Formats: sequence, C-alpha cells, structure tokens
Amino acid sequence: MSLSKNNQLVALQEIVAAVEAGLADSAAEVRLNMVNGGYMFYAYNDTSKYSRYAFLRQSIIEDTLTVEFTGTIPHELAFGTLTLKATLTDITLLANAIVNWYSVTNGLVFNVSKDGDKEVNLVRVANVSALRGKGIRSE
Amino acid sequence: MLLVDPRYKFNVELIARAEQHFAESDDISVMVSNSIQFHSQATRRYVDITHVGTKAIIVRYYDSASPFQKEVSDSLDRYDTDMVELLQSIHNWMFLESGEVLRTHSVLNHNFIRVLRHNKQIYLRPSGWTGDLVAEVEGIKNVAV
Repeated sequence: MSLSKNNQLVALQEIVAAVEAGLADSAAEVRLNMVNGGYMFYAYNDTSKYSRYAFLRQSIIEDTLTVEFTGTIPHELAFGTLTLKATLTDITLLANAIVNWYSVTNGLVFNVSKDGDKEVNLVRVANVSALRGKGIRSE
Repeated sequence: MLLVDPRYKFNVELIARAEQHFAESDDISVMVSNSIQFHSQATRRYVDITHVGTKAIIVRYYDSASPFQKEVSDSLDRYDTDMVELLQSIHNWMFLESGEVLRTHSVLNHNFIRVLRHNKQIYLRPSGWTGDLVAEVEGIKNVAV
C-alpha cells in the first residue's frame, strides 16, 4: 500500500508537469506562483508589452479545476477573461490551453477546442482590437 | 520555460518523500489546497502545513479524536527544514499513544519535545535567553522550569 493522494493533488501535479513540458522549448518565460485560492501562471513580454495570467483554482468540494485567463496589453485594461471549468479528465486540455495562452501573439487566435462530449467552452479571439470594450466572445 | 514557485517545489518534494516514508501504510492520505494536509483515518489525527511569506512554514498538529481538539504548532524556516525529520514528526504524531513522548524536528538548533499525558500536552523548549528548559502546558507559559 502507499500514501493516498486526493484527485485534486494528482491533477495539479499532472497539469504543472504538462505545462512545464509544453513550455520547455518556448521562448515565453512563465512563472508559477502559489496564491491564495490556487496557482497563478504569469508571464510578461517585454517586446509586446503585454502580461498574461492563467489562474488555476481548485475546488475540493466540487472536485473541479478552473482556469481563468486574463491579459493586458498597452493602453487597454484587459482583453478578456476565459474560464474553463473542467472535470479531472480534462487535464491535457487544460494544460494545452495554458501552454497556448503563452504561445500566441497579439492579433491572436486562442482556440480551445471541444473535447468529445465534455463541457468545455470554445473561445476564439480573432483580433485584439475587436475585443476592446467587448470582452472575449465564447461560443 | 516554466519557473516554478519554490513553495510548490517544496510541496512536491515533501509529497514525494512522504510517498516513500508511508509506503508501508494504508492509512495515511495527503491532500493539497491552500495547505498540505496529512490525515490518519485510524487515529483521526492530522497535520496541516502552511506557507507563510516566502521563507516560513507553519506545521500544525491536530487531534480530532481528542475532546479538546488539541492543536500544537511549529514555525519553521522552509530552507532549513529537514524533510526526513518533519515526516518522522508527522508519523509520530499520527500514531502517538497517550503518555508517549513525541520528539519533533530541530528548529534553529533547538530540540522540541512534546509529551502527551492524560490528554494534556507539555511542550518543552529551551529558553532563548537563558538556555534553561521552559515548559508550556496547554499554552500557559513557564508553568515548570
């Protein structure tokens, strides 16, 4: 027998490991910080002058993981927030979404695809300027 | 590249070592939310480890089965924490019988010793000023020296 770990812990470790692997060859420098209520992935791009966040929340009671993506670019407060509420079987999808978030550039297309019949938001951002004052569109 | 928070690294390493330490046990579980918690189903004791600031951790020892809901705590420097001693301390706490002595980890060269006797905790520590042993009984300081 062995030490038993709860689903949240197993999922968290798998996500962080997947994100670490996904960003291994990336030019993006992303920081993972422990914050109250979860874990914050953070990156600042000095060339493009943007900062991006992906806030990974854990809900022990609901047995879910949620990632909220937010970002800023110069002279705009934010270009949107995306919340993915995933079951623990969506670990790969969540990890890929985080990696993609730090890989896309301005004028970005950020596409989180639907995974089978699981309930995952599909968000597509075609143009940053089109988002001003509108927030992200989700379908 | 992902730059990982040292607190997360600490958690991962502690859990990995705990998996080795409790490899023979089917009673201990660990969960992580804002803190790390080790639980024993059999004795209903648990230990909560919380990061405070950038350097310190607080280790709290709870006894759910006690009518007094006992809690004792240590504040440790994360970078000086000996994980083997910490896990042994957690192990001892989980399976301690009343009247036994719980020897916990060294903190800044001070050896902490706890004694459980008749549901009362006597907490011995060396005085930082005189070097004498100071006893705390259920949080009342300097009851016995």
